[in-house]
Amino acid sequence: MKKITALLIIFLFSATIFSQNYTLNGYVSDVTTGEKLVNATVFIDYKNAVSTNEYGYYSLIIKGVSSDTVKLAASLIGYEKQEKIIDLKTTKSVNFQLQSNTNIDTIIITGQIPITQNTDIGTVSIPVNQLKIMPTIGAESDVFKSLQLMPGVQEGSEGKSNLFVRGGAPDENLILLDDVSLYYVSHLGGFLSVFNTDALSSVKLHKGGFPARYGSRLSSVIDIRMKDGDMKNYHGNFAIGLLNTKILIEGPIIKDKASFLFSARFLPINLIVKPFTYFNSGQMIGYNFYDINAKINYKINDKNQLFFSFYTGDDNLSVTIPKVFADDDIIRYNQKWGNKLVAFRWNHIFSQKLFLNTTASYTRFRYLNKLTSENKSDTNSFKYDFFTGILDYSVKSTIDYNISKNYKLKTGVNSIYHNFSPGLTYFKITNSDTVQTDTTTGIKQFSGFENIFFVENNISIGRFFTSNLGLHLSYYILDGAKFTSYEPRIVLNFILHQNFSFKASYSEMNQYVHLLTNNTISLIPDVWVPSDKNIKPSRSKQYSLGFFKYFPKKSIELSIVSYYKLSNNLISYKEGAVFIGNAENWQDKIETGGNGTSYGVEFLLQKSQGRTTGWVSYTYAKSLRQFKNINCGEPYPFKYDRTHDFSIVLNHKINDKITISGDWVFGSGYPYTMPIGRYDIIDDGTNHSGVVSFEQNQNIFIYADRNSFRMRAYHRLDLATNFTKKVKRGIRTWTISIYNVYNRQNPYFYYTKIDKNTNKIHLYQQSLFPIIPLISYSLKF
Amino acid sequence: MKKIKFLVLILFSISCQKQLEIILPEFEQKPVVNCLFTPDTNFILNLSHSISINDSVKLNIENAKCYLFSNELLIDSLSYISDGFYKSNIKPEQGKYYELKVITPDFDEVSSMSYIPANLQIVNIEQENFSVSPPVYSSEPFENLPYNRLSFTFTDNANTDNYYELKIILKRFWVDIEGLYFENPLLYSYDEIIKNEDILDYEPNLFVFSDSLFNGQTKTIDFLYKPHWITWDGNVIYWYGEYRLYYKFRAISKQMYDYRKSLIKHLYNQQSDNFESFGDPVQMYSNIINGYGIFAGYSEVYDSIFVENSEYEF
Repeated sequence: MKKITALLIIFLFSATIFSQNYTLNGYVSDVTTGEKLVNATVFIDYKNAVSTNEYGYYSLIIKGVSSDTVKLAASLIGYEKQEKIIDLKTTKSVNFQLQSNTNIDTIIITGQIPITQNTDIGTVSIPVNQLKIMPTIGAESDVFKSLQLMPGVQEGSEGKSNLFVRGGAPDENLILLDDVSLYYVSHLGGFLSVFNTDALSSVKLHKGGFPARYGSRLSSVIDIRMKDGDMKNYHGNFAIGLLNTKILIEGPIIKDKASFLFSARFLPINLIVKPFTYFNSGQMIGYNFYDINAKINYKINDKNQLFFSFYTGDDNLSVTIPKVFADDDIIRYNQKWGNKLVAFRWNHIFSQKLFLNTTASYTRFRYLNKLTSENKSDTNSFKYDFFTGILDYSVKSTIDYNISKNYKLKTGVNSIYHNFSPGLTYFKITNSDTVQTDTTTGIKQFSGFENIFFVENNISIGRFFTSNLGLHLSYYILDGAKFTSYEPRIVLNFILHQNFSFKASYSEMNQYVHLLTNNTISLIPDVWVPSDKNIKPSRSKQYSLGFFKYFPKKSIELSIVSYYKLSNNLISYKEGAVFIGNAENWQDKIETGGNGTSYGVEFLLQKSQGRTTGWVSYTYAKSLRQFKNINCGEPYPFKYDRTHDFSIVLNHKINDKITISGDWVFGSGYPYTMPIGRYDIIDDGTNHSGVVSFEQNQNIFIYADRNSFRMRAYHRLDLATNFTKKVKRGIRTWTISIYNVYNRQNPYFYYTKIDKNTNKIHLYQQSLFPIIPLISYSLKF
Repeated sequence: MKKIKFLVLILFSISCQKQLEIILPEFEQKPVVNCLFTPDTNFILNLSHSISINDSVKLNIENAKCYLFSNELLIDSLSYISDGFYKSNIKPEQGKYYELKVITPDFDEVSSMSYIPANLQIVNIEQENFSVSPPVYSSEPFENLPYNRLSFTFTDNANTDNYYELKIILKRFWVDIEGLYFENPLLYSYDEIIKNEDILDYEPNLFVFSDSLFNGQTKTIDFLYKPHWITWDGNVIYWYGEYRLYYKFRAISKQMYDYRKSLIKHLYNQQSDNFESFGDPVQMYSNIINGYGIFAGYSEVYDSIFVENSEYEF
């Protein structure tokens, strides 16, 4: 065994030991704004090419060139290719500044590393500029709603910004903003995600074949990066639509040295609703949300760069009721919930081959419910507060070490301090200056500590094989419970031809937190709870196989990926259990030790360049759950199991002033549980006839197996068009969109109702969104 | 909670409902037994059969043979009365196990077994108006009214697993609005014994609980309620006048305890046209082999308390 290990090590490192290479490093950025460009390709030829990392940095080891003088190029979709003549003997560092490509007749950018060459399997990315022109429900671009159109991703209930990835629940998604996790990502009861697309630079979704750097969730990773801010010029954007009003400003603090970005969104509906409710009922009811993104970027020197990222956002519901019991009484009711995120990042280049990123961050989600009652003329009052939340402090360090042309190492450590507050209630009553009650009840706070180590080995052998072999280790302590997790991650890419490859992957994932949520569109809070002695961490194993084809002339990528995922230690609500925001005794409401099985095939044809862009996706999928005490222990379809899911998204640029876009989605119906029979029982009840009686008939339903019926199929067409024009103060855009063009009444949920006249039970479908035409305006200055 | 749903109401106001026709698989009908028995009352059993969800009429079984056994000995054969009811000539006794067998021409034989637990040992009963504040304040002012409290002190038998049930009915004396006579109010409790039963979220109008947290002890449990009446058009009227409170405090069999808990959750989640109902459907518990329904025993204390007029100062 030792001999085999030694031979393997020699084999892997032979390229490092015996070959003479040149190494170049640097950043690729936007020439106009100085913004670092992620996933740009830096290359000499097909054999010597590399992509920039999530910080716009690259390190390229060059081998097999016939001359010391080479033509080095950088390219990225949406940008002009830039070439530089480099003397490899004298040059060590080369930075590129790419020009944004506005010429619609320049269709294809050559030199991209195609999908067949990398080790991504089950990874999708949508260019942010495509996100912005896609039709959406409120004429407001939304990252999550766009990702929902990708294969293997379900939205769940119509219109919501949830992601159900490969049969996983929403809490199984790790959502990262600038490498820091966010726990709650919705505004407006789930109909809008918290990410302002104007402030984003890249969006990537991993559904399988997870790199070892990611962990802590079972089903997916959504890696979202904010823009750094323009290093050269001041400019901004203002937009007003139905769902929000937003503004973005960015510019240099010190030209080419430091920059800032600030963006804010808010919902202006309060300006209308509050006065309307006041004049209508005497009460003031208001709802609003806001979010703010800010970033400061400071380049100390060529080797050191600092970043400060900030996000905060809240939804806020308030009710004010005057004159409740007397003229001087007033009751104020307020619910507030949202995230706050602060991150400091330091990028350091140790050498041409060694890059360090260190991030210290704070993130928290909290929900507050306050109710106060006061009387102006006396000293009676009561106060009630409810609080639930989770906060993390984290320090993370990652090293990218470009050891040789055939071996790249990425490794890192991460320590996270978690603090869970599942639910605390504060209650105070004052009567005539005397405090009658002043107490805090609820569930105690938990503190947990999570330590992570990971290593990724990107190894290539010749031109025909690349791989990412990794290991993610985590150690978690909470309230006396200790858990250790070893999670191997393997991605193998067999390149059968430069533009055709076959990939296979195996990933194990582990999850220490669980979300208690309800599935309605109410504003009841989500509550995060930790694994503990009784509730073990959830775990999954996922196998993927995929074929990838790249058509360079049309710049079209085709992928067909199959997956098989097994999950265990899942939790679910007990049959009939309801969650109304109070997490007290939450362990009594859930079933533990559940198993999940998901499998499917995903097809994606994507075109990201040229006058017409978009994609066609189709998924065949099956997702099952099995719990000992649900459905008599038999497996049943997951609530959002969708067998067939098809979507087509097209964006077409007619000219520099007009773009049109549209999407059509089709999905087979979600499962539901149907009553198929009934009977009467004679139960204690109330007889209103005038005689004291405890007897009453009750109608009992006999249900079919859990989720054994299917709702009607879902389909919808959306269209949008953008009219852009240069005006005196910048570039203005009118967006006209139509959601659900042919007014399809799609099922939102099913319910039964007894017809009192005939005593027959009827099944009804509740739909949510009819055809919705919308218009919005934005000004880029 | 009502206020926070205004967004939802706005959405639903622009959306629509649609009645659907669905084709159901063939439904297998089974007999339904309803028999809750207690000492001093002859066994009375109601027998019908389940129907498809598309059917509307309850169908009684009138030609069945119903037999009662005790200690594996046949003790009686029930006689058919009318409307699906069968009656025994004997009265059940405490502590005995009874087995029921029903033979019908059209269905498989059904059977079930249960017992009557020992009598309750009540030590004290108290009632107090406006006694306890509600747990969560509401923007609806009258929902913030304190609860009236009904307390039972009783002694649990340490030698057996015991189960209990409480239900109350209020009777008004002033009849100023036609049709308002009785109400079966929702119950609430802060007691850990009740909280441990996981039924409070389902807005029950009866409580069932086991002695798992107080086995063999003399225990006082506060049951909270608000004297209110619901008019025919659905409005809630809170009542400060005098009324009579009828209560049934029962010692129930394990089968009845499982049945009641299941019923509370089943009925709550059956209201799927109610927006606040969002639990998954609950299959109803039954201890009837080859059928549905319940065959279970209990013993009870049934009495009433006169509650005098009282006023609450806000």
